[in-house]
Amino acid sequence: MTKINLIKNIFNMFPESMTISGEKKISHLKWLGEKISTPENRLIMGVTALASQPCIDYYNGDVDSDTRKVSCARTAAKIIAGTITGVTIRYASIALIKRLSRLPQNGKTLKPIEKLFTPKSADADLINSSRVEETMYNDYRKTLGTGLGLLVMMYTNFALDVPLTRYFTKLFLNRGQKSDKGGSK
Amino acid sequence: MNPLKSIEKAFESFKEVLFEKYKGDPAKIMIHAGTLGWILSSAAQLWNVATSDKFTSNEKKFLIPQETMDAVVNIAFFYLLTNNCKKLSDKLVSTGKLLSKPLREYVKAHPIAECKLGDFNTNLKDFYDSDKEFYDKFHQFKNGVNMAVNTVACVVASNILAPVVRNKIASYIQKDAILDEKSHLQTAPKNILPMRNGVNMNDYMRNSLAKSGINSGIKI
Repeated sequence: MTKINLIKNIFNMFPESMTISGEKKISHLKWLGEKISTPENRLIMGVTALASQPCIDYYNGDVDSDTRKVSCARTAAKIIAGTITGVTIRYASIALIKRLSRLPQNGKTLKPIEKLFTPKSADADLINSSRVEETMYNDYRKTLGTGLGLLVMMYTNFALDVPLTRYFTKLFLNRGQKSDKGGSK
Repeated sequence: MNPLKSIEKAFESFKEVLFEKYKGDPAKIMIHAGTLGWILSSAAQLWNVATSDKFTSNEKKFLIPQETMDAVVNIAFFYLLTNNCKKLSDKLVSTGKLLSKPLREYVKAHPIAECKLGDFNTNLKDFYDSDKEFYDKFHQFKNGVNMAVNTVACVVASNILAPVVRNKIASYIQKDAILDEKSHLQTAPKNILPMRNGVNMNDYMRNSLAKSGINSGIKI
């Protein structure tokens, strides 16, 4: 109840009517809704994280300077490793699910494996004829693909992220130490 | 009943539920997948610390509450912020407060007395969704707005708010551990090495990295 009231209160703060009129703005929004999904979102998160989090750690006044340096290097390494594996696995999982959830086109018969994840209620004619319905069907495929990706990442989080994070952290710490020595000469 | 048949039936129901729940709502996928990602990675992180024999029981006493706190902060900030932002952007569009110019013109050209634009309880879908022209433009616009709002909310929650709060909590724990260590050093006999030798956050980071390579808040 409180939650609804909070949203209602914020909702009431907005003007009565807001209209987006620019053609470009409208087509950008359309593009966002159709094209951006979990891999792109993970990439955006990774890039913005790299721009913000190491800085937050480096300027954290609550800890000593050595801690700040290690924390900054570790955070940057973690973000780079996590983004590389996260984006790659999400893309691969969604691509795999797309291959396993095809819809019949032009009367062609599909192999059972090609429609393994195709829901029975998916109307092939409707989806093939409407861009909005096609986008909606792709949303379902992306959901399944992302779910599969998360399961895979339960394993790769340790098998790939850990060694990559360790490698990048050592690299950044060594670079930092070299530049510190260079600066003190 | 044949077990294979029941598995097949369950699999079909699983696909149908996912299809109905997530089709046409890409922002919902991102919120749920993101939250699930945080939960799984936090659980894996905690499980790894709790079961690892590379940490002493004293280190675990320090690390497990810290990891739990990290998990709570990450999951709570991500879900609460993104979900509420999505609800708000959904409301703004579905009530007609925020529309694109073609949609605004369409609604003006097809007025319905009961449809009060900008009212919190109005849902344009209930009045116009049967019209193909409206349906296509409305869904494209609503999904676009939701994705834009959701992407910003994800970035703010995960990359700005959560790390600042995590750092505050971690520095509080670090200070607490150092105070604890100092009192331990003062009371311990001189010939006995302290259990947590010179503990500070730096050492914990180096040690945990060297031992397991895992990090707080690693995200999948």
